[in-house]
Amino acid sequence: MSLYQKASLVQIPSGYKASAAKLYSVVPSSGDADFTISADADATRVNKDGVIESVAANQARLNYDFANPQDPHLLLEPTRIQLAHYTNAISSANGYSLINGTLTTNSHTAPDGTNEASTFKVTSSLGQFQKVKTGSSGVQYTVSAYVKRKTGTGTVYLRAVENTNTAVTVTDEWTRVSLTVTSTSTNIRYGMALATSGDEIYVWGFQVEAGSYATSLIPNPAGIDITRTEDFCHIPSGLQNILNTSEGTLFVDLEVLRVATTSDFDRIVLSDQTSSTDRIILDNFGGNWRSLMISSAGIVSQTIVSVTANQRIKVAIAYSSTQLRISYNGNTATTTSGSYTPTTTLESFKFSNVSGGSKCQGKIYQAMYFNTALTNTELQTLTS
Amino acid sequence: MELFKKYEFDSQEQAETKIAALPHTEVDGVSYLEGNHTIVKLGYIVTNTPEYDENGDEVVAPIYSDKYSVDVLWNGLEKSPYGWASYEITVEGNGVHTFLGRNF
Repeated sequence: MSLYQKASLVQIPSGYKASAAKLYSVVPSSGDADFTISADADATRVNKDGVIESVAANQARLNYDFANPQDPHLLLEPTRIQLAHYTNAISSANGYSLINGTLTTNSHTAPDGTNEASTFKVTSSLGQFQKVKTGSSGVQYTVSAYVKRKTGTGTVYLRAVENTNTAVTVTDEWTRVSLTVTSTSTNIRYGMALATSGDEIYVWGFQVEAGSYATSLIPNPAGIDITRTEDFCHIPSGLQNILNTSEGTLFVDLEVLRVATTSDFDRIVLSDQTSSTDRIILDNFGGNWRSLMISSAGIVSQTIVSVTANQRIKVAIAYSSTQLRISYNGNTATTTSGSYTPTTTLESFKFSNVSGGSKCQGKIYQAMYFNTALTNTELQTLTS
Repeated sequence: MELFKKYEFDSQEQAETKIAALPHTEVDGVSYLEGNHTIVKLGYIVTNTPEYDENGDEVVAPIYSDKYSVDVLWNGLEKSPYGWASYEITVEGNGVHTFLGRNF
């Protein structure tokens, strides 16, 4: 019997039904362990053709890598506010100021398949365009844009937040460039500059957001700010016949978008519906991946490895009444001894804490659950 | 069911007090707002059109409202929670902010 055949729950993000807010699990096929999705209408994903498209309300965002679309992942992102305006019509008419250059709208196919990319051409060295948003001083902003070279070989700069040009790598394929800067004034700039007179680039899809990394594009064809609310994926209840309260194994293959702190962290939890008494936890906490086994007997905790943002990790956690055993990325399992004496029933699987807070922000490639504590060799095989 | 409301408070402190008074749950030492509502603190919004020079420095400085604005997407509510209704405002269109996929 293969390890997959031993699993009582297998989630490989692939099938969904937006009208039912469902992300189907591969195992069981009965529908008893399908996940519930919360996501905004018009949020975006990269589809299998590498094209950015809007999704329906509560559609699981099965997202592909923009530069290399292969296997999809489930994209879970936090609330973000799009502060850039007219992202599909970058022009002086829409408030983008120009120095030694021209902007021509609707001049090339954009990453969303429309003809809404603008062409920026400079008529003198260090020509630039930019727009300024009134923001806050001392705040970390991330500015991003999709850029593609049309002509020339000169340096391309991103203007992000401060009055500074930062060189970015641009090719003749669409690339998303991004820079995170802490503001020193309330003037939040976003724009591009070109070093060489006569050079031309295509540009589309600016995004300005408070935060340490760029999230998926929030389309904004107007002159107001837009908030995308946070994604959520969970099975709130009903897993009592699939999860084993007294022992089991949780496996997750994922990538997180940030290194979390001890006060603002990401969590994946198996628990009772609402009670926090008994929980099996994997979290991105204070710079480390960590697992917790919580019951009335106390907290058994094991730090796994330091978190690296945008780096995929496979983690398998086996819990039982006396041990928490963990393997990651094919490493030999490590054991922490401790007592686990649950008094409630595990019947919920959430990409968050038990209350729905501390939602997981990242890319979920796969999740599995086994209703037995796998052997160390099996844990290692699973994460290899 | 969702309810999109806009509010103006006399100050940031007043808005923070109203938000803090909403039901919260504490788990593992972290306080979470109950109800899966989305609260966006717009702050003291800019009421003019600021102007900037080629460096992005101010030529015409922003003028800020003396009211503190908050937009909320309430989840599962049919009306504003107790104590919030008197701070509701209406605007033409979406005003300066909206939620993705929704209109005010």
